[in-house]
Amino acid sequence: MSDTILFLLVDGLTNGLVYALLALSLVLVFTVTRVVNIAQGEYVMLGALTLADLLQGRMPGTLYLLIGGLALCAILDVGRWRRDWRQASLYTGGLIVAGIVALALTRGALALHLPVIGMMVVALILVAPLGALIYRFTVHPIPNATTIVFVIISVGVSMSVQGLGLLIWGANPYPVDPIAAGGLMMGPVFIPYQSFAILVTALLAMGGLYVFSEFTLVGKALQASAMNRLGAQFCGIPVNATGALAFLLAAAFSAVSGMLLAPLITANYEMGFMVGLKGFVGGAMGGLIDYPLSLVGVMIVGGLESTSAYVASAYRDVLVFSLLIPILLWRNTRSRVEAR
Amino acid sequence: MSARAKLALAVSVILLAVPWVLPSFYVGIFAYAGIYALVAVGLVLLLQAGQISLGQGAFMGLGAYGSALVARAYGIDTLVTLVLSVSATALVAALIGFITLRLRGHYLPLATLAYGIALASVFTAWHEVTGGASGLDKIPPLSLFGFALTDDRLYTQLIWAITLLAVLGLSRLRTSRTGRAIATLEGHDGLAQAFGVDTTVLRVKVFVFSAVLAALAGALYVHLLRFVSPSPFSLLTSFKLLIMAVVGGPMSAAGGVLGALTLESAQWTLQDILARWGLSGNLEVIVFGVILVVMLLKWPQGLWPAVERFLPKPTLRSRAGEGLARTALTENRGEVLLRLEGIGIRFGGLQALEGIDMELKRGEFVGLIGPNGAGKTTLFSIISGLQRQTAGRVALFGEPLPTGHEIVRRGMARTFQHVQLIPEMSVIENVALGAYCRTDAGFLRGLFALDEQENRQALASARAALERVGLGAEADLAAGSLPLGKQRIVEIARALVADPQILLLDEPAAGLRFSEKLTLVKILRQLQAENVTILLVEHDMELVMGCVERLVVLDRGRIIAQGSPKDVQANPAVISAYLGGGRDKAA
Amino acid sequence: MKILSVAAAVAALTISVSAHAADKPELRIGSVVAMTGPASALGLPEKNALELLQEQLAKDTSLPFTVKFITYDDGSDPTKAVNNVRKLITEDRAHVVICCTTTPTSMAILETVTQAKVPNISLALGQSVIEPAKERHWIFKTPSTDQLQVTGLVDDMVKRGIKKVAFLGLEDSFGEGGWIAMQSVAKAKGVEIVASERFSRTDTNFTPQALKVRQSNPAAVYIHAIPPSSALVHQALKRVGYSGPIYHSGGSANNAFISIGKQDVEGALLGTTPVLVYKDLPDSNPLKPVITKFAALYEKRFNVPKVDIFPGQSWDAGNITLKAAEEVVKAGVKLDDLDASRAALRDKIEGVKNFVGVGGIFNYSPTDHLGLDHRSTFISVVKNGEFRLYESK
Repeated sequence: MSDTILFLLVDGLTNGLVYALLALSLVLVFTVTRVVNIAQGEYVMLGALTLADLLQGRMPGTLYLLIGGLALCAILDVGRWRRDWRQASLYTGGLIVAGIVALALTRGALALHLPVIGMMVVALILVAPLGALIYRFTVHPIPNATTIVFVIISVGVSMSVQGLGLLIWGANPYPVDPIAAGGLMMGPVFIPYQSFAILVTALLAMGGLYVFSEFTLVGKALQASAMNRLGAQFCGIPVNATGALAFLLAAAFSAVSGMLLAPLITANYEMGFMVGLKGFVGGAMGGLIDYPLSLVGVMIVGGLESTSAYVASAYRDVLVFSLLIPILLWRNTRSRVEAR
Repeated sequence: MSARAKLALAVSVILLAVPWVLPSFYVGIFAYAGIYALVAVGLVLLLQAGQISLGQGAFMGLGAYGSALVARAYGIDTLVTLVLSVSATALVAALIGFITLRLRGHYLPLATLAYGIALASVFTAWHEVTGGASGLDKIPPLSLFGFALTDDRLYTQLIWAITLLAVLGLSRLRTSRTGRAIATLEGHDGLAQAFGVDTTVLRVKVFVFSAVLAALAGALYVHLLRFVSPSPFSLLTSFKLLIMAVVGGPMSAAGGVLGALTLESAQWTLQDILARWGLSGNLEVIVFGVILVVMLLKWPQGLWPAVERFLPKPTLRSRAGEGLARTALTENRGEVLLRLEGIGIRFGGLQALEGIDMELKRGEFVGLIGPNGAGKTTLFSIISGLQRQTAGRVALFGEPLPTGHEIVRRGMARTFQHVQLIPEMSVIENVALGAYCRTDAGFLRGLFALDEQENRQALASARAALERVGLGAEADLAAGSLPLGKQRIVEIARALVADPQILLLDEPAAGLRFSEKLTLVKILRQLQAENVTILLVEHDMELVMGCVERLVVLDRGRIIAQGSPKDVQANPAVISAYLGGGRDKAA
Repeated sequence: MKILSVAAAVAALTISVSAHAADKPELRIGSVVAMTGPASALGLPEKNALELLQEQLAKDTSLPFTVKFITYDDGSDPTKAVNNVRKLITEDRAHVVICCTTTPTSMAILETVTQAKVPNISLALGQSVIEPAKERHWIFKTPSTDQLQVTGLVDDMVKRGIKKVAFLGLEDSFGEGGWIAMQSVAKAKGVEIVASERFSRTDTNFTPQALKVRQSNPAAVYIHAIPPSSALVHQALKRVGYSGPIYHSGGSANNAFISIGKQDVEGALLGTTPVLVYKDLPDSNPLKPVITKFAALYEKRFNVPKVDIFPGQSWDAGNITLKAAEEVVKAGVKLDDLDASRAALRDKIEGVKNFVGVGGIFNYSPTDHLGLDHRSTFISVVKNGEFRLYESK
């Protein structure tokens, strides 16, 4: 009996971690741009599938998405040519160069048959900019819209990106090789090495974000744009650039999450939604503003999930989400007390 | 009949006639559009109250499964099962509402997500009863008094009739007493409480109403399709409904209908166009997502405001005749209305106020002043009931100060340091909010237009108050369009409509230009002449010295002087507290 | 003068072209499959097979009619399915409707096709789609039922002396179908179900359910799911220490199962249609040539290493319709007369005997709109990373 409890505990915690990077991404996006990004899970999918393609020696469809996005960016900025053709040509030139670099990098990586870590880096370079592009297309034009409008817009983005995923990769699952195959038995539980990789990455990411926002100028600028957009602009902070940067970093974290997750459950076009949802629940436990609490939040979600799946698997969603409500009520009173 | 009402009638007639004109395939789509519109309309109300809900799909499901299962198993008349199912959902919603509506910020939508998923999962998991993921067929059709509604066209008309009635009711609600209160729920909690709105109860009422509409829509859906399964009531549907409400325009109930029609027709048109080119179903989803994003980028406020610009303006509610009866203010000077004894408040290690003893007598005009950080705002918030003191007592008319929304009913009204007007509402409607505590037409009366006389009286009182403060001409302008000076005066008018014995003014001169301050002083003097008891917190010394009869000076949480302006100005403690004495300029 | 002659020439040409086109009547086959949504893994291959059929027919002029395929997506949603089927019936004037991918969607449209009197071939696995027969006059189906598949597997369990089995299935309608089948078959054959757990396609962790199953000490485990979850659950079972036989449904009968499960799924036993194991069938088996031809066409056209069970379902549905249509036209019924031809098509479909399809040999009758029996159900075993035919001892 106690064996089972221990099992479920360890199992729950390690599986909760799967959502950790996603929770961090959501918190990052929210704290800098005040956008609740429902589409964040899709970068998980893109990261995983891009890696799957690269490891199988195929040109990943993500490259075409990236190039398409860069092209759209250039087209949208057509108005700038009239105002300041020098800057416009620099900008468009930059976009073209970025596209070429991405293409060359991918070709090179495939030709060189890089190992898993190398391919992960390439996949990251292909997916992360998509975040910045999405920011450019959806948040940049209407920075002062209400939260709910951004939520709906991100739902639209999620629909399109998931649809594109289905179009490019089909409905089939793609197996992905882990960084290190196998695992070890911690008591009664089998923990794959991949799970350790996820834990380490999550902790590093969190630590990195903390150092970045507290100790670097760019990080502080990101925080400033979140707290007071107008004020930050008056201080000379390019709030659009900070927003795009936040989206890019968040996409990067989510993509890494997908790449680490795929060896455990395979990559497929619909993996983003559920991971996104669970990550959101975890992050929201910390009010979407607190990194360490998000980590705790996802572990709670993982723990609840494992326990419910064991106790009554048909009703596990009912149990997990019902139990969430008292936790939210508790968090709500805590944050009210803190606010005062 | 006004131009707008005629237009609304014409549109309604067209919508009801459409099922008889369209080919049968389109009738089906139109029917489901109507069902979604019904839920979207309720969701719009929720959004107006500042509550984002991702659980409407689950309420639809409760209404659907409740009616379907009982009718199928026991052969009971579907009209009865429909009513029972909707009522049961209302009870569940009330319970959920009381538990979750105290959540703030992101916790509330997350909670709606949580129970939305939990409920929807029950439909799948409890397959012995609900038929599980595979669903149950042989659901009886809707039968009204023995007449089975199997003709799709009639059914569609019924659906749209109900939806249009809901839109009518909610539009009517918007300009009623409850509607004005609902407008304060999003982000103006302090305002709502200050004028007698029990925000918790009102939130629950709004929530239950929208759940009722959703359940009704769900029951109508299931008796039309004659088949029930969990997938139409999933989280994805809740998202779809939210999209409809936001795209349509969350400012108006008609926006819900517009959103539903737009999205459904966009979806089917898209399918048509793509099918003609032989393209796959997946492309529909991609293009649809892009269209959604583009639509919201172009119309972040939703489509309805763009449409409304071309429509005739709605008629204003009547504000003719006599206002509400006012209590006569007695001349009984010397009667103590408000007494503070030993008031103190402690925040952690900081003693912000200590040993505050003061009184407010009838007809007095008292000013509360002090340097920055003295504790004026804190004391003020204790007096107006927003914070509780940690020591001492406050007595209002001899009784302990009640909490929250009860205070205004006892006769004490206030204005706010940061103006709390609802910018999109007209000035007169904002002022009419002050009458909330003096009237009692509730949610249902507002919905069914049974509050005409009372509403007229409330608006008449508001009109009279505006004229009293000299803003009669601005009555129908949007409150947000007024300059700050006038906005502050509107706040005073609003407080006056609450028919208070005591008026609390929180830095009314802050941010005003000189000419605006003159107007303010004129009004204050006028009020004083009418025997209104006033307690004023201010930074502007010139203004305060010129108006008030008595001053209370705070410094570092204690009273350092009380007395007439002349005495206080000469008081050395006061002078040194203000760092070098003399008259302070406006802060 | 010149204009008149040109006009006359154009008119003559138009008349002759339309006359030529009017030579052959048009058969319209409408389909609604789940191209998006939760069932897209099943629906997309079905759509592909229909596309393939369309392309093959374009080259074939031997039929006495032209064929038009109209295919819509229902997004795995019953409401959309009903609306699309209505569209096919009233707007597109389809003769036959092939729909739908899942059991709930197929059930939702029953009323619609029955009232409109349009023959319907379903692609769903549930038995309730075609039973009770007297209420399903217009509805047929091509996939085998869960009942048939599970019966074959439970028979093998009984042969091995297994008395206790545990069930692990998807919580959607696919898994539910398996559960309903397992419950009735196990009861009939005297096997006890000691555990019943659920999981979802998109889950990231299957270990708790696997642990619970192992702790109930079954002698065999049955997993009713599709990859990736079916392979991952299989792996999870092994990891928590279960070492007995593991059976699977036809949902696992595809390459993804092996490429995901790798070594762990060696020895897995699957109940499947002949499509998976046709290579091991004796050459005398009439199924072999038909499936070989189809598999070659499909695998080449859609660039997949191995065709799974789903495309065959719509391929068979299309071909059965074509066969029935041929007979209808031969009997003199005009395809332009929609009501008459629909009724005639229904009768001819019901009269199909010994039709060798990819999913099995079909024999419809007024009381049997499934048309398949145990001859079309096989068990496959994963041996050396490949699916081989399994001989039950």
